Amino acid sequence: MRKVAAIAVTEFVNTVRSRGFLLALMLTPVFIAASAAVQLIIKERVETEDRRFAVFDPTGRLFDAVSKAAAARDGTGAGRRAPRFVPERAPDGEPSRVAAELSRRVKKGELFAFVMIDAGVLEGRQGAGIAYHAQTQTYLDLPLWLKGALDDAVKEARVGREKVNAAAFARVVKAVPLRRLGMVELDAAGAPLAAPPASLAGDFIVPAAAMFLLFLLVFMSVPMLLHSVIEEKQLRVWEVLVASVSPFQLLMGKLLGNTLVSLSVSFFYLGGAVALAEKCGVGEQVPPQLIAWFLVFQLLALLIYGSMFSAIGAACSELRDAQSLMTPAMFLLIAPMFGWVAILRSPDSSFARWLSLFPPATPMLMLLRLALPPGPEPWEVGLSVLLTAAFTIVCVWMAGKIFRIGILAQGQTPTLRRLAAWVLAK
Amino acid sequence: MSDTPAVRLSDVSKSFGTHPAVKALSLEVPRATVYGFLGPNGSGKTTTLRLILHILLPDSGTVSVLGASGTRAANDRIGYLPEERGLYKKMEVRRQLEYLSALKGVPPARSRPMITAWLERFGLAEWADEKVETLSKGMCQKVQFIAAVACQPELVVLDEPFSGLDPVNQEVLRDAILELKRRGTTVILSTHDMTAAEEMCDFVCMMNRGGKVLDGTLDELRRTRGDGTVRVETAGGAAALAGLPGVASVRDLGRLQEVRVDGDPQELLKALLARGAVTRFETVRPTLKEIFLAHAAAPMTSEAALPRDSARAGAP
Repeated sequence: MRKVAAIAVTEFVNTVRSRGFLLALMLTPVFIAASAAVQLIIKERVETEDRRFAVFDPTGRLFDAVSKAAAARDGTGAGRRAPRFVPERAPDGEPSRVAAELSRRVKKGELFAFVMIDAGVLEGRQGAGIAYHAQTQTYLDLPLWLKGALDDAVKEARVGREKVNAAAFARVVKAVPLRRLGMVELDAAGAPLAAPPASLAGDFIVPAAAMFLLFLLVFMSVPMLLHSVIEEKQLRVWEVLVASVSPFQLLMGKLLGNTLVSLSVSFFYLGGAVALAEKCGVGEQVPPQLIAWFLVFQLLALLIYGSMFSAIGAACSELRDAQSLMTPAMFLLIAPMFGWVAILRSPDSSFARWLSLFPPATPMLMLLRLALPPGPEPWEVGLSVLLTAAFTIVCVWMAGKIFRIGILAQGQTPTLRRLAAWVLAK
Repeated sequence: MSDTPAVRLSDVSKSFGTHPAVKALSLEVPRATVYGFLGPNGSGKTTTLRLILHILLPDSGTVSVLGASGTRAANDRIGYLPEERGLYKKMEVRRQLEYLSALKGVPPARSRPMITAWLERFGLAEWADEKVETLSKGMCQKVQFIAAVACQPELVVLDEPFSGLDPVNQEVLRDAILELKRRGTTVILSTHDMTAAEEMCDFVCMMNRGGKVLDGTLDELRRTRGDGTVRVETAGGAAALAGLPGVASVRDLGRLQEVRVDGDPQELLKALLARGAVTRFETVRPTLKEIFLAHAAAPMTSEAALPRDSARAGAP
């Protein structure tokens, strides 16, 4: 055990003293913050050009309403950081001819889009509607705003046509507000407390951030193990090492060293995240038990994927050889992440439950479920930890078998079949 | 000191795929001696060393090292300098040596004085806190040697320790190895360098194609394998030897002829005197290289090795 500790400590010290590690430690959050900031800045900068659009209005009543709504939008300040919407009346004429002429102007860049209103739209004629024409259909702000503005204008016009009392109609169609709240709890005296409002931080940001941070830490850590093992083979240090310790001790020392490095990084990042949450007034959304679970699943994930990547490193003499074997291991690590949106939408579904019990996916996805209210059942958490711990033991055992032979192998291009043979070898 | 040999290999074989690297090898390395493994590339020397260190496990036979049989239990008492040198380039010299000693179960507090002493002896003290990548190849080799001996092992295994060293450093290393022996350390040396082996080894084991060709003390090898060769100087030159009984082969060196005698050299001398004046007639003590060259190409049989008792007879 002392030798394993000596290897772990040396791995840890070698890593944390390296310039690359310190740079990565400091620059990763800087890069994340910078990329978020850049996106915001770019969004504001890109969307400042006026969106000019033409409205073909055979009814003669809707263009004015759209113009008024556009002016009102700019007046409220909505258009201050976003582009202004500038409508213009399209000339009268045969609709298809007008559409062709407006299309030409869009292509020339004189207009961003145009709207063709059917003549029978106010009467609610069958098939009558509004067509929005644009070259850039991915810009949704304008069509969404137009739909709302034209809906309101059409309703108002119809009310006038039907001679309905406008005030009465407004009362009839007035939307009922819906507030999203949490559960009503009782105080010590048994009196119901006010339900807390739904929180973007608690329901989305914290769970997603916890899961992605765990993924990022594992993704950053385990390839370092692979590189370290291959480097030892390339530097020919391995022979001195295995003359002093068994390959399994060497593997365990390296795994623990890497785990220590990753947990140290967590210390900084989790500390920073908690401080940020406190500063933003959502500190209660990051409870201590969530941090404890984060560390438990981080440990398990590092041992699972660390043993896989170490074994791959031991089996290869060069990084180039490792690429083909890394693909399935990377797939195991990344594939469960594709299920996170489904779990976020429905954390107690069967899909969420079973996927989070699949050991390679458990660390990331069970952590996500734990962070999402109301959280999984205790038996699910217990079972997931048991299954993942058992899977971890199997991974470390198999890695030890591969490591024992692989660390001595030179000049052989490894294949999955050969690795399987090494696992089964006595 | 224990009477058991430092290393005992009994009928050990090891193959890689279909290629036999070591074939039915048996030998004993007496304690507190310098034992040389000699042989050309691919003769099985390095594989044998790895078997002794339990880096490789034998397919058959038993390996017993410092009294521990078939386990790595003795590895903490063995220092190893592999043929393929390897150090962490980004680690400082002293920290690296302390780490490698710690892997032998010697904590830094105990290894530090030894490391300091060895660094001073090899003129590396001022490089102790420098990274290995700043050292020359020769310096790295000396650091690697220190890594093998800093844990004060009972057995040191050195695979080609002199390769890549200049003559001055070869001499420094040679002295260090002999001092280890004087302190009671058993040294196993693998080398192609027959001259170095001749100077340093108490025992040698010649290997070729995975098998043992010869083993024993140097004197035994010379006595047993070297007799039967004489150098002759006669007025008649090589022609005077023609047709004489017992002459197996003649190597004409000009003024001298080297004759391999099949039988009693005294009978050859009588026959030569009968033909004319003999100005020189001497028995040749062959060098290790000559013994090896004479036997390396021969088919290997168990009879090629000296009887074990005979090999042990000269142990100090």
